This record gives sequence, structure tokens and C-alpha cells, in this order.
Amino acid sequence: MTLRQKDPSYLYSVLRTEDEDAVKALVKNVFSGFLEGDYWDWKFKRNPDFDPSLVVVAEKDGAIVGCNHWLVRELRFSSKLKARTILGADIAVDTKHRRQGIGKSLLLFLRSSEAFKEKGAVLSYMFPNPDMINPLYRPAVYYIAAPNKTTRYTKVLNWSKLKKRLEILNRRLSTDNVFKEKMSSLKIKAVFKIGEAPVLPLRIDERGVEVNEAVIENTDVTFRIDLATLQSIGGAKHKTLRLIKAFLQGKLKVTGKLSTIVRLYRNFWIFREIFSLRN
Amino acid sequence: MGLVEQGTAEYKVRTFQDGDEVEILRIFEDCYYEYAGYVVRTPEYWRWCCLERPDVSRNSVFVVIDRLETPVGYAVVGKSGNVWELSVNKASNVEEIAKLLLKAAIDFTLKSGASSVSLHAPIEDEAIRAVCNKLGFDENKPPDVFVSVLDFKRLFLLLAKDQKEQLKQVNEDVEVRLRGAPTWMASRIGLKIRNGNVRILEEVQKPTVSIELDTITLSKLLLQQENSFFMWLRGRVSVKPFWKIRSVLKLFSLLNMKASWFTPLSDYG
Repeated sequence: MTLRQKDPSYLYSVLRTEDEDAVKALVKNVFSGFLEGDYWDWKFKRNPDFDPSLVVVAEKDGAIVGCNHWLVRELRFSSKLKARTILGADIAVDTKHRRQGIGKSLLLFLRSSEAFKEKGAVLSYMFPNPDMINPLYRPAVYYIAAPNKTTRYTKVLNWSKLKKRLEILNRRLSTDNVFKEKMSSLKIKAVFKIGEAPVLPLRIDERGVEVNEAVIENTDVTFRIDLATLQSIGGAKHKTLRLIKAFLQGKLKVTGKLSTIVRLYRNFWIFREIFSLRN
Repeated sequence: MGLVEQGTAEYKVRTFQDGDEVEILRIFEDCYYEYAGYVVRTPEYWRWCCLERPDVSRNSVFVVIDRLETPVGYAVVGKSGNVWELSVNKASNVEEIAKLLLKAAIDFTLKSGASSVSLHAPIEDEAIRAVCNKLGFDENKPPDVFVSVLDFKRLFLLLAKDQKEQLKQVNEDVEVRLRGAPTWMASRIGLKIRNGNVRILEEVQKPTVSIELDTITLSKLLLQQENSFFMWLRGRVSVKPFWKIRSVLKLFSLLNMKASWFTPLSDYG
């Protein structure tokens, strides 16, 4: 079955065997770094519930530019009840083809299909990118938050992952003159005490950002914050406002000279870069 | 038997052995059966979502056994530092077993080179919280789960099954009109409620009560994300005739998903 949507140059159809490699490549490209390698094969091909009639692809001029995967799952509703549901798994659109309504069409295509109706599912659920809820998932297919009572516990063992990210950041900073100029005016030795995680000492100057143990002995400014607050600042639409709120609530404690704190506040962008706070 | 160094006089930790699936599934159900929102475990599903996961090996599935060598808890740990599943038999010493499993998870994660260990647990699970606090874990928010109702008729029937006795208090012919219903959904649903039984009709000829609301509001009411009384006050739910509001409030207080959702990390895919 194929269906033409608003933009006739995009064609939507159910996955065919010959599309698999292109879909794999697209998913790998869009979700790069996530379970590298044979992620797609494991998640879909080796999945006991995989059904190719629940995968839809968008193509333009013969090339796959978008895909959406659904998986039938039996979900518990209560101690006595279970029901058939559908997990909206990975929806991916090639970066060059975004903002064309492809995501919405991919969501709607399957909902109207016979294959979808035949499954007899009561509801569909997903773990979406929070930034896509209001622009896409809620208006297109009426997604609402589930009554979730799950909590997450995290123990940071070391800062090796952050160090790798800083290497990439420093390479980027060294080639950008605007960044370089901003960095040279910073020159700060900061210590972060994030929840129960090991202390994070950072030296920030024109050379870039470095995890440096020597900073602990000679600190300009110390931040104390718990992981949940750091996460909430990262997820907030207005990060600066959330940062101020955390400070006023006493969830973020800063010790150091006032002039240094003001300088850091003016250069909040660097912390977005360091902690990879989502935009 | 792949024994791990950690252990106590009462419990030992070992790695996964063929045949453990049966006990593992039993422990999982025993832990979470009161919750909603997780995938009902079958041996095939568990093998796929845990054992065959790309970053998991048999040596990273830790099983705690008691003196009788019966599994009483397990943790599925990925090289990424994710504890995909952690469940402990409620009849056992949950804190002691969870501590053994988390220590094994931390050791494995350190050896595999990941920088953090993460796990999911129900918010109400105080035993896991106590262990995590002792071991230096920070509590934070997991990614949200979002739900979209595909078939309100089936959902009404399903929820009614759980509330048969209480529904005897409501005997009505209800017409539900969905404002702006999407194309894949009926815009009118008829519910004939008699003696606790609910029958779905395409159309109710002479409804005793008519409810008009939009798709999002109905979804929120059935998933217990909103209060029907406040929704009525705010004009999101209209009831005709208005004196039937008590029946409608009663109906929505019964027909909703009462269990909280718990989403194990392994269900995220």
C-alpha cells in the first residue's frame, strides 16, 4: 500500500525488504552514538514482536528520507489486566528533509492503515524527545504524559565521558575565533560538587576547558548542585531563568568572589557546552 | 558456576545460567505486578530485551542465590552502565540483595570503562532508595512516557472489567461525543451500563446522559491525569442533562487506570 500526502514529491509506503539497508543507515545517522553497530538488527530484526507491516518509510526520488517503526507489545494495565498496545519506536527524518511535515505524515500513515487496525491495540505509547511533544506528537496524534511513577538513580563513577566531550569541545573552540576571544576573558578555576559524584575540577581559559586536579587547591569558584537540579536546568526552555530559580531556592550554591560569579553568569554558554545542556 | 566475589553468609552472587529465565520472570512479576505500563514478560521477550541486548552478555547478568541456591534477585547490566533490569524477591532481604547486585553492577561498569551506572525503580520503592543512597547514587527524573489512545471503545471495556462491582452503582445509557475526533477514531461512543456490565454501542438511541469532551481531555480522564470534576468546572466536559453530573463523575472515578506506571529501563529499547 502506498499513500501520497500533502507534498506529492514524498511517497510513503510500508517497509520492503530492499529498503532495510537504507533504513538502518538513516537510523544510525539520526541516532548516532546510541548502541552503535547492530542496534537496528537487534531492536527490530531480532525482536520477537517485529512486524515489517508496522514500519513505514518516506522516500523522495527513490531515496529513503524518513522512517517510523512500531512494535506490538502486551502491556500490564493493573494486577489483573493486560492489553495489546503499540510502542512508537524510532521515528527518523533525514536532516535535509526536516520541517516538511514528514514526521507527521509518518505518524498518521500507519494509524490509518489496515495493518495497524488489525492489531487491535488499545493505545500506543512512546518515549519521545521532549522537544518534539508540543510541535509534533500532541497536535498530530494526541499524546499525553502517562501517570509515570518511575524514578532513576545514577551514580557517576568518573568524568571520563565528560573528558572525551571536552576534547571535542576544545577542538571546536580552537578553530573558532569568536569562542577564543570569549574564553580568553574567562580564565577561571571552578570546582563542581554535583550530588554524590566525584568532585569535578575545571580549568577554563583561552586554551579551552580541562579537568585538572590542581584546581582543587586553588579554586576561584565552587558550585554545589544536585544531579536532578542540573538535569532540570538542562531540560528547561529558559535555562537562565531556571538557573536563577535554583540559586534562589538554595539548590545551587555558589561560593567565590562576587565579580567572578558575575563573570561566570555572563558566560553561562560555556556551561551549556561543558555539560551538554540540551537547547 | 560463575561466582562473583561479593556475597554474604546468606546470599551469593553468580552470573546467568541457562534455565534462570523461569525464576527471573517470576521475580520480575512478583516485584512489579501492581504497576501498569511495563511489558508483560515472556521468556522470548526477556531474552530479547535483556540477554540478547547488544551491550549485555551472560557475564553481565548477575543473579543472587540463597542458601538453597534459589535465585532471589537479579540485575542485567550493560557495558554502557545501564542496569537494564533489577528485581528482588519481596519475601527476601531486599536491601541486602539489592546492595549485592548494585555492587556487582558498579564493579562491572568500572571494568567496562563506562563513567556512570543508572537504573530505574518505582518511586515508592523505599528499599531500593535506601540502598542507592548508601551507595552514593543520585535520584533524578527518567525520560517521560507518552500515551495516545487508539481505541476508546476497547479502553472503556477494559477498564470496566476491573470495576464490575462498583459499576453496579451506575445504570445509564451514556453517549460520549468526541469533539474534533481524529479520522481513525469514532466521534460517538455509546455505553450501555447495567448491573456492572458495560456494552459498547455504535449509537445510543435515547441516551440518559450525554457527555461532550475533546480527545485529549477524555484520554487524561481515563489515564487519571485529570480530575473529572475540575474538568467539568473548567468547561472541558459538558454533561446533558446537567443534573446527571453526579453519575458522570462517578463513572469517571471508576473508569480510569488506577495503577501507576513503572517503566523498566529494558522496556525503552
